[in-house]
Amino acid sequence: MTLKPIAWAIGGCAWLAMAVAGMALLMSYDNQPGRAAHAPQQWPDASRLRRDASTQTLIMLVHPKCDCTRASLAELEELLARVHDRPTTYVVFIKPGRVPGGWQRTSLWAKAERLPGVTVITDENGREADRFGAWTSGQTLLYDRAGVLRFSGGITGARGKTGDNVGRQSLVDWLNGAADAHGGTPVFGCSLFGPADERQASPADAPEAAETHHHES
Amino acid sequence: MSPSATPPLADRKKVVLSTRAESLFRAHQQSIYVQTDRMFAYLMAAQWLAGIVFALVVAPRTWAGSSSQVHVHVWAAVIIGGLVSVFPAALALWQPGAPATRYTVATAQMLMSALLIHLTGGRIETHFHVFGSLAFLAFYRDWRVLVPATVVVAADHALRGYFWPESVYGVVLPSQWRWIEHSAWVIFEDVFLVISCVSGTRELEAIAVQTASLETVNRDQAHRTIELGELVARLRLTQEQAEAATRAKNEFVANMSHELRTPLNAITLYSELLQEDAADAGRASDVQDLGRIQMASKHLLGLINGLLDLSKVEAGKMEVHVEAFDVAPMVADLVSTMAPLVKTNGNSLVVDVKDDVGTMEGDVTKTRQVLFNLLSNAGKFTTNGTVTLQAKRHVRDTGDVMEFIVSDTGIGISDGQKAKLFKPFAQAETSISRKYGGTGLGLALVAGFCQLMGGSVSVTSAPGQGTTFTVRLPAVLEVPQTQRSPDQPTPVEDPLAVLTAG
Repeated sequence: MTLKPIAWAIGGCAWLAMAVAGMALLMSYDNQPGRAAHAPQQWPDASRLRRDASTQTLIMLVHPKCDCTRASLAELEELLARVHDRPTTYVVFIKPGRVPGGWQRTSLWAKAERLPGVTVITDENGREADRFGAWTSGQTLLYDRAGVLRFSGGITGARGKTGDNVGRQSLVDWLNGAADAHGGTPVFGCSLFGPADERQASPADAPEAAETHHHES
Repeated sequence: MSPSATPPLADRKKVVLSTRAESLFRAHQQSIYVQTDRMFAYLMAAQWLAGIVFALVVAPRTWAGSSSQVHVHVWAAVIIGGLVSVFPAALALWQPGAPATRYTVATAQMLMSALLIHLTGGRIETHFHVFGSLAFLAFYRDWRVLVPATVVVAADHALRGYFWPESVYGVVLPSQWRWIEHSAWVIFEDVFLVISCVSGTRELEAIAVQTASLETVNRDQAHRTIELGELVARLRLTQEQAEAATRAKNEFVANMSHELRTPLNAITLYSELLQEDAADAGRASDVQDLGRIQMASKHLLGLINGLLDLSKVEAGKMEVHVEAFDVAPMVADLVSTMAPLVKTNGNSLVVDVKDDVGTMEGDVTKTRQVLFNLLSNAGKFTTNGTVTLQAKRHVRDTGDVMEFIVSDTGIGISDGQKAKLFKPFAQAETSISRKYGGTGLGLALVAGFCQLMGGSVSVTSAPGQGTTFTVRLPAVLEVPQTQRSPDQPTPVEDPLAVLTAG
């Protein structure tokens, strides 16, 4: 069977258009940021995270099963390697109440544990995420020594993509005292809360000692 | 068409060869297109599957709190990967070899590169898929397929670099001209691939020309083989006819010789009786006439005996009777017989028999006949000269050889005459037959007997400087006695094969 030229031309163009459209949709999805945080401007007193007034405090809230967050952790590692004065750093793994124990101990947890000077914490029922107003995995916050919010945003350029980006560079510049931090960069990652999960914040809740890990650099 | 309009044969052959080479080249090229299309069909399927597996391993699900669903990348690998792969794979299977198929394959391959690069987060390692694909496309040996492939790569990098640079470069803020750098590296590879394609195409053309030439040679060779076979068949038929004619001739000669000898013997016998009666009666005139009749009858009888012997030799029916005999007495007896004949023309006969000649185991009758013929010839063609007979024994590891040399100082033989010297009825010149007599069978019988006894005869001579015949015979004829019985005569296919003329 020989395809007529006109049939091939029409079919070929249609095929190419569909392939290009599909690629464009994929790109669009991967560059669609998650919901931005409404982080408190002042360190929330209810937080069980310990803030050291002698250093600045960096918090990254992550979903333990979000593959895109692997890029956020990679960027965090890059960030910490570039700063002269390291902040107190927490990577907070959210654990919804409906999931079994150990659910949050994923390869991302292991990767976070290997980061030097980082404290890894389980966030039961997403209380800390709620206190800091975070919605999307990879949300990064920086509070200064006075507990004032200096940065809130993402430190990757797209979903699951590593490489130079505005958020990471802004934090590096701030921590090195080179410039003011510019928050508001988009956050690319999974949603920290699902439709069946409740956002619960209780002053009585505190991080579980057994679920913390601190790695001194 | 007028004869002048017909191109020369050489030009027509060139046109035929060129047309055939072009046909072979197109066929070979088409087979490469078809084969490469099919390879890409399988590659497309493999890449599609690999993309799905990769997405499932790296990001199988996307999460929202405790809820999850299949990751968009998995669906992208299935749907977009399928969309990119299925159409060109279908073309490759249903319409292999068509130009549109390979251009679609080239475009699809680069789209697949773009998808894989995106799914891996713009990893630089995945960009090698682009370069590998270009090299694979060069399998077509059609540099034109590299054009759409390169355009797709350049457009992909330009558009994605502008809208979503992270997905292709892994950085958010690349230079707006970075797509040119990427495209330049692709074109860098293209240059070598184009050279490779053009070179490969030329090789195909050369192979086609060689194959067409080889076909022509093989066709000509086949024709020549057929002609040769026909020639061989004709030669075989001719040979069979000649052999049949020879057999018929020999049988005829043998029969005729036998039939002629009986009345000739009667003529000889009765002419002798009549001559005796005429002598007793004092009829001198009758005695002389009857003497002529006897002489003519004996000559004719000798001729017939010679013919009979020769026909037996040629027919392989001549028997060899081996017996041990002393050479010196045999020579002495022969000389006593031949001396009067040799000395007829005023010649002297010199005999030189070495002391160590010893004994021979062979056919004494035929050996005597050989020497008799040679001495007879020497005496016949020499006047007031010398005829010499020498006999000596040569000791050899392979068996002793008896050598007899008969030389004379006679008229000699020219080179042209020597060439036919040992052939029957081939006396040097017709005038010689008239002047010296003879039948022309003597030397043919010498050659035949020597061959029969495992020996050889050669001659050296020059006109006016005499002639020397050399006969070499094995001192011990090693043919078993049983093979020389009348039922199994010693075969002689060509009695002249071992003769040499010096």
